[in-house]
Amino acid sequence: MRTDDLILKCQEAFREKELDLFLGFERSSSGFLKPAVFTSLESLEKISWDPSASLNLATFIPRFKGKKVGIIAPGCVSRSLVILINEGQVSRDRLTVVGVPCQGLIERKKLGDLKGVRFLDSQNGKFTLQRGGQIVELPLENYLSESCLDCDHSGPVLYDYLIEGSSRKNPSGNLEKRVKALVELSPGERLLYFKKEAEKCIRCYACRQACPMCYCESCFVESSEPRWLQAAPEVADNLIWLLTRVYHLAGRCVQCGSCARACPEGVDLMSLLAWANQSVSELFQYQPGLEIGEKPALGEYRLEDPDFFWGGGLTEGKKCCS
Amino acid sequence: MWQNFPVNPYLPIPVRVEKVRFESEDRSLKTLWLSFLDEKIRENFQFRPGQFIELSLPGKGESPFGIASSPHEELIKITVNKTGTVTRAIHQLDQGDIVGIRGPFGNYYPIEDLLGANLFIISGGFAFTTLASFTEYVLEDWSDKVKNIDLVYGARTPGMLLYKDLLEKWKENPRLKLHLTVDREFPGWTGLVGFVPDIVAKVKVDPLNTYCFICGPPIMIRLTIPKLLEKGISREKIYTSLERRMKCSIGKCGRCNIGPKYVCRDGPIFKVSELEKLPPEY
Amino acid sequence: MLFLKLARKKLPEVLKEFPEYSFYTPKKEGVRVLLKETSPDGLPEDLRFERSTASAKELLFPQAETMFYFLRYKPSQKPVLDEGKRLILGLRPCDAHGIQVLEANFLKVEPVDPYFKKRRENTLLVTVACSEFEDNCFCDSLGSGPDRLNGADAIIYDLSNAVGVLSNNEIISQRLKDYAFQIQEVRGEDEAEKGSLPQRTVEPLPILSPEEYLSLILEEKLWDKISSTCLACASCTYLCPTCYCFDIQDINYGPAGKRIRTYDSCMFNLYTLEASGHNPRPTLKERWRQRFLHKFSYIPYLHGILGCTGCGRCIEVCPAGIDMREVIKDVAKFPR
Repeated sequence: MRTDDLILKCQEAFREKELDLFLGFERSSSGFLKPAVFTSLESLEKISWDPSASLNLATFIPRFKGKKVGIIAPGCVSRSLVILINEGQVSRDRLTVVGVPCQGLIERKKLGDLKGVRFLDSQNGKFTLQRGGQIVELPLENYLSESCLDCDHSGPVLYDYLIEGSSRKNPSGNLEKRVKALVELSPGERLLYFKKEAEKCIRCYACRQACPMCYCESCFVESSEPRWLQAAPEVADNLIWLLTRVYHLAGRCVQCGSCARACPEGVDLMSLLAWANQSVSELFQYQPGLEIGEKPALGEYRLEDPDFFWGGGLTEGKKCCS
Repeated sequence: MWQNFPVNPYLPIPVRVEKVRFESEDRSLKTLWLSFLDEKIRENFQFRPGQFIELSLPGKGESPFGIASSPHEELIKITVNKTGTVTRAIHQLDQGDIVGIRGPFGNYYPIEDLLGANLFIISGGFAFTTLASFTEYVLEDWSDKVKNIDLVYGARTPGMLLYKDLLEKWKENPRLKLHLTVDREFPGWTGLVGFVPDIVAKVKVDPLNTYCFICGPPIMIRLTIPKLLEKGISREKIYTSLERRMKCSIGKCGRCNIGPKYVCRDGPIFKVSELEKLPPEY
Repeated sequence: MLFLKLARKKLPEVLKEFPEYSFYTPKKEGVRVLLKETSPDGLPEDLRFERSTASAKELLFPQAETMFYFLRYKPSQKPVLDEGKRLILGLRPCDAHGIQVLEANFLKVEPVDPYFKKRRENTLLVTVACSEFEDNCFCDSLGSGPDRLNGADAIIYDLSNAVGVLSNNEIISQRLKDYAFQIQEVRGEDEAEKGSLPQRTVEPLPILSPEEYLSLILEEKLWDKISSTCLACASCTYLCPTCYCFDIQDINYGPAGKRIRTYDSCMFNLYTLEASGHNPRPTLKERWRQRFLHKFSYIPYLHGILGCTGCGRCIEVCPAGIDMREVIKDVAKFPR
């Protein structure tokens, strides 16, 4: 994908659809891409897209209710948009999507000891950084976000304009293996694992803010009557926060990894979310964000839904987890 | 600044609820009279009108309330509006219950600077608490040191007016010109009818030697100030008392700031001229 | 102020002169660096410590602190003050600058915060001059530098075959005296020998005076532009060394409970939400204005020091890539 093609296509979209604003990325002073709101044709000269981006842009959509919004979208973002449309948060006719190819996004926490770097470029499965006076070239595969390594929907599913290019194709299956390992643990061991992750959480809610599906105007953590959890980051309360959020996202999460990349402490969110999604997928044969007009799995009742109490439904005899 | 802080300003001091009374007919406003359990504190506790205390119910939380009693009274009087978790719990309190107080916090109405001037006191709804304290204090101690005192106080209906016993007493006081108003006509009401800003516009005051004190809902303040400026009163002579969500009340937790000023420490009483230099966050 | 020079190999012995203190140093754990208790034997010889992920304020002003215990509705006089003595070794000058801002908030104006006061009295902060710059750090662009004392109890300079300790603190100076081969009385920190410091071209950032910043209060377009991609998460405020806003809450365990204070953030909607439903800072515009002006206008106006240390943690951690350096430049460029 060439940046000039992207700029021209986005400007075309802005002009033809008479948009109020356009959501995309622009280069920050450290070379990595940062989200930006473009409000004019001229400003779109700065739009760019490469693996150094980090946020799922769909999270900004509920902010601009009533406006005509353009957005660039790889696979995961386009699926988030489908879910937002299905859940009534944005109407299709006010949205203009420019689909872009995606090779995956870099997880900056994996850069570890490489300090003071500037992102320069990414091509052919490699990306280059500048460190002091040196240029360092690294393989993309070793630094990708976990969600991207596992991605099986890297091309956009929804678009009005499309930028040609190849998207990542080999899902690693790592998350599935991790979920299997978690399922096979004894409940006591599993609790220890959850607690280890919950200890790291500082309750900054960056994960919630970076997630396009968390658009509730009043989140359950802010409720004071009843007060579900206290403000101090004690392990028990962090567990309630993390696990409840996973439950609220079951069957709605597209595993874009925006939350895991946003987390400053490196909490393992992807395993938990993958597990919840896997359960919904097995129970209801449902993958979120693929079809407009679809009702969310946990928001609809069908007669053939599994029914463990009476042993009926399509999953007769099956249990949901060990 | 008139304050005498204990070693740990976050610890509430035990007080007993001596008396309770519903102020409004819809029972949303309740007045409580409090006394300190410790005799030494009871004798030494002093405050000036305009200051506020934090009423602390350990287990529920704390809320700031302006002190409505005058400094000479034995008991501390506050009026509580039932809006949230803590205030709902306060409404359940009755005579004999023990709770906690922290305070007094904030600055106070600067009566010493106003000798020889006219006072124009304006209030609306249940924000009348600190101005009631101020009015009593002026009538008790400073009555001969100021000229005219006009008080405009309005509420939605006659039943929502606070401290009806005080208002009755003040009607008889020749030093005070009382202008009580309600928003709309009400059967049995013989006072003025109209919103506070409109009544304020009609009161005649000497613009060069009158100090104004406003306390009420933000919308009332915003509509009243232009009426006072139209009369020719200077911004330096108009004082208003602000409200903000507060937690520590001692200028440490950072949440009640407006620009570089803390409402709990440099306020809650500010001159309009000071407010114009600050961000409009009230 | 004393400047003492010690031989490198004396350091482990010197540390044993503080038996009543527990040692805390930055230690790497996975992707994070945490301040953990260590023994004085396990300290790195080259005096190179990682910079902690969260700032040093954790140990003086922890994320959750118990203020007192109570029986439901009855106020009780059982405050919980932390009596432990700590020596924190291996912080950076920017961490010390952050503590200076916290001291100005908690200790400068009556009434003094007793919890912070007790911890600060019992803590010795020993920083080490930076041996390399971090990702995105910019203290030098703000007029500070990787060698500043910034109100720490002592700072250690690496002088190749020796170690220089600059200290204003009685306890440290007294206990180090016998180990030093050279002791100098200095009037200012620039008289001390600092060894070799990391170099780079400084790009000074335009910092205006507090009054000039106040003149931009009503410029909605400016604050709108800056906050347009902000997610209103609290990551930047929780990791910032100078952010001190806290919330007070009561936690009940049946009939008894405790009152705690926890970190809060001006970026949350609930921060200034009043019980009536009115919010003086209803949108991100006003909250960003508060965050920026607090650091660059209100704190300098009230306390005479800059509210930003230039550590760059906010830039590293922001999921939306908002860069404080760009914000500083945008605000200064805006026509006044």
